Amino acid sequence: MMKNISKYIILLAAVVLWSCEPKVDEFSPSNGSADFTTFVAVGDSYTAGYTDGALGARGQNESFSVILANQLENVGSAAYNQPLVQSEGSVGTTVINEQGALNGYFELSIVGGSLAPVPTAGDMAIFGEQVYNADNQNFGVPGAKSYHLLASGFGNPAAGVGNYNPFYTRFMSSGSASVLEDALATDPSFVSLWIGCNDVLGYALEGGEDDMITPPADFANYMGMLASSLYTGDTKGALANIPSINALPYFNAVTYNALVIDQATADMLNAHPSYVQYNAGSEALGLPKIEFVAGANALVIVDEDYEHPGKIRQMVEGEKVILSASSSISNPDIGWGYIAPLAAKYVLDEEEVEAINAATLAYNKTIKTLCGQFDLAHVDLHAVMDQLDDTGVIIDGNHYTTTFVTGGVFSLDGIHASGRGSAIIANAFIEAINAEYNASVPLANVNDYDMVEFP
Amino acid sequence: MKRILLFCGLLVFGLQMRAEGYQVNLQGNRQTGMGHTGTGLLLGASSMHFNPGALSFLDKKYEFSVGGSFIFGSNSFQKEAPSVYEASSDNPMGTPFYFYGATMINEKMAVGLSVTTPYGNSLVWGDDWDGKYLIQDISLRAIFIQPTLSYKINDKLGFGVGFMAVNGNVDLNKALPVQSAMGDASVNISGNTWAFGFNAGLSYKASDKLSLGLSYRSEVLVKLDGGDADFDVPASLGGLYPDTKFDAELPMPTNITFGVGYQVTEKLLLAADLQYVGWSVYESLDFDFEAETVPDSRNQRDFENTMIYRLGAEYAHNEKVQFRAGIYYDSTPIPEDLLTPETPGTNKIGMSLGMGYQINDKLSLDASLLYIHGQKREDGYAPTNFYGTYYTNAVIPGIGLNYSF
Repeated sequence: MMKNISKYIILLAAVVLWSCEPKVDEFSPSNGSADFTTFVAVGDSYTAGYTDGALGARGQNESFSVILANQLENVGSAAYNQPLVQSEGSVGTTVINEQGALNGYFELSIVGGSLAPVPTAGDMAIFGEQVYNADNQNFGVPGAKSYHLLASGFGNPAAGVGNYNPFYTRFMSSGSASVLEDALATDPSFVSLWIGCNDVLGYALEGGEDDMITPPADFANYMGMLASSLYTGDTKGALANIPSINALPYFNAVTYNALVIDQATADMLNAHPSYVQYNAGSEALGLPKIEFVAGANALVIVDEDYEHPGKIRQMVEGEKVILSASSSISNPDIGWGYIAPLAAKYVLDEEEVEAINAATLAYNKTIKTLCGQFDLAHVDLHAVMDQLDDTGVIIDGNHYTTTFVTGGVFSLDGIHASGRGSAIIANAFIEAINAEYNASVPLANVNDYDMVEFP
Repeated sequence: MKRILLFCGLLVFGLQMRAEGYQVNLQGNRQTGMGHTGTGLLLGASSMHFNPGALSFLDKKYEFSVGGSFIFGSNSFQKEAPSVYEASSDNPMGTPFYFYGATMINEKMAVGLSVTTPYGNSLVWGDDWDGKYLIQDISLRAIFIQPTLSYKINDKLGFGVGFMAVNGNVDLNKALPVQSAMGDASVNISGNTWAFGFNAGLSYKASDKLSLGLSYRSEVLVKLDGGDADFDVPASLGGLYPDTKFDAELPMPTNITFGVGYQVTEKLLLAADLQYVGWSVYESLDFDFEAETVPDSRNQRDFENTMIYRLGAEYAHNEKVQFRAGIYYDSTPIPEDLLTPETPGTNKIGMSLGMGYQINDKLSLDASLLYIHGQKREDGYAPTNFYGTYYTNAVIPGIGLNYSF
């Protein structure tokens, strides 16, 4: 009998091995009516993979375009070749010392007892890399505006510093090439186009004091030229619109009333001769006084158009402070916003915010129209970012918001996406593509990618 | 023989959820072979779990029963479409066990002690799987130690009660959505505690052929005070997330079972059980952390009461050998939109085969084989927006020995 039992045990083991793994009904990806054989991404820093304030291989490998391309490999895309940064380092566009060195990736570090993004040193040799390859599929150029993609010689150093884009120089086919020409040379079957953010951001980043908003009529022109060149014959694609600056931490992490002080500081400021004098003037003119209280106070800014001869005033709700002013506000030795008024280039006043919003709205109308005209997937990133900003989005157990550093979506520069933000953007592209082309492109797992790294 | 005992000695205390919720109904290999029926039967020492009222009908003065099962379970997850993501849990082999020892102290009265593991759950999804912020792995086990007293009121009616001392143990890991150079932060939650309850049963021999039973097992609320929460977070956040203590509660629900046994012929015994499980006590899984900077965690469960329907048969092939078979249907207590990967429940059908062998007049052996097929379930947990299709099945061989004299 014991021998028999041994036999039974062997039999049972066989049954166990045979039946243990449940059968799964596999999901079948489908390309629908689109052809993803040669996928090409055209755009700006988001497409390139710029993150944490710089371009480097880490960001390039977690851009929305590479995440999208990886998912498209399930439905016919053969590969996704990028002009990868060869250096271990990264490079941005902010000068960080007197020698003119540029920043690399920002890192979260403990500064004065609290966490703050601090730039690393950039590797300027990256601009010297020659990584042109006829097989390149990523035509994202950091800093590019709509019309830049059309411009011949956009990467030509012969134009002189400031007149060419060194990020494009790295992978342009020739000094006279345009991004559009290079992209068309790949004979793409499917093109993602996301351009126009810099058409408003160039102005916004300067606090509205420099650069200019591309006039919406011009933008419509440029976009029409881009779309009609890219989407010819059987080439299809996805066209994404422009998120509101309200969703970007760069313009929202520091609020208009970010000055938090105690009563002693408030008393000290209120007694300061310059505010006493200012308030006497305010009283005479019937204008609001600047009076500090314990707790939150609106920041004091320079406003050359203000009626008060002091040409300063407190900010009002709806106006925005840009992120780069943050450290000088929190540093009591500098005291921007109370000891010294914030310069206009660090502030977007109501008029400037209105101009940016109006242009964004007009651009997005153009983009929507072009999607209809060329039968393109319309990727409503404006809505996606608004939702992340309003309520956040819960994805597989994590609540994603646009909150700076901790929200999970944005990187340490406050403008560009983290790896996970990029995956959220890539999934918005996929959903739009699936809807437009009756395709079943699988979504990316957002939580597989990176967020801000804490020390 | 010796080898089998050695094998049993090597068992580890890893259990896996195999009935619905985190219940494990494998408390006797004779019963398991018959679809885990037995409340209406007179099954000697193992009655302490199934129906303590039947214990006073022991055939001999002493009876001991010991056994266990080997759970080869598999859980697969397929993410909500459109996605090609799939994951399978790498579950350790579950090994629920039982021990029963009972004696008649006089003509009417029996006493006994049982040690069983009717609740447990052990799942390992992995550190980097897509549901890592819900659960990475969990090991939950409960050992019920139950002294039991049973009294034969007359030749037909027996009544029994047991006092249940329960040792509960939990150990789980989940990732936290904050990253360092080492990847996601995580937390380990562990604790061990005692809780108490009771059970009672009535057994009635209506005729030579028909027997009936009703058993009640009380809820046991396992209250864990001062469990350990160990955080593995980036150094810069260590002050906010120190290793701390937590309080939590997990109910082991009330069971009320009505069973019938019918001796159709001398050779054929049929049994049926209706088991009601009061899962609705499991409303929420909350962790209250002692450190003020660590936010408390509230997790909606809102389980629903369930029924399990069981049918079983035993055929006496000859004086020494019996063959058994059974089937049951176990409905899930987990409502729509509250399905977590920590307890990926679904409606289940269990099919069992069993065999009994009388080795000599004192010693007998029971072997069983249970296959559980979980219906695929396309659902998820709304509060964390984690959806997909869960697939579950298990093959469970079991073996037990009975010794009576």
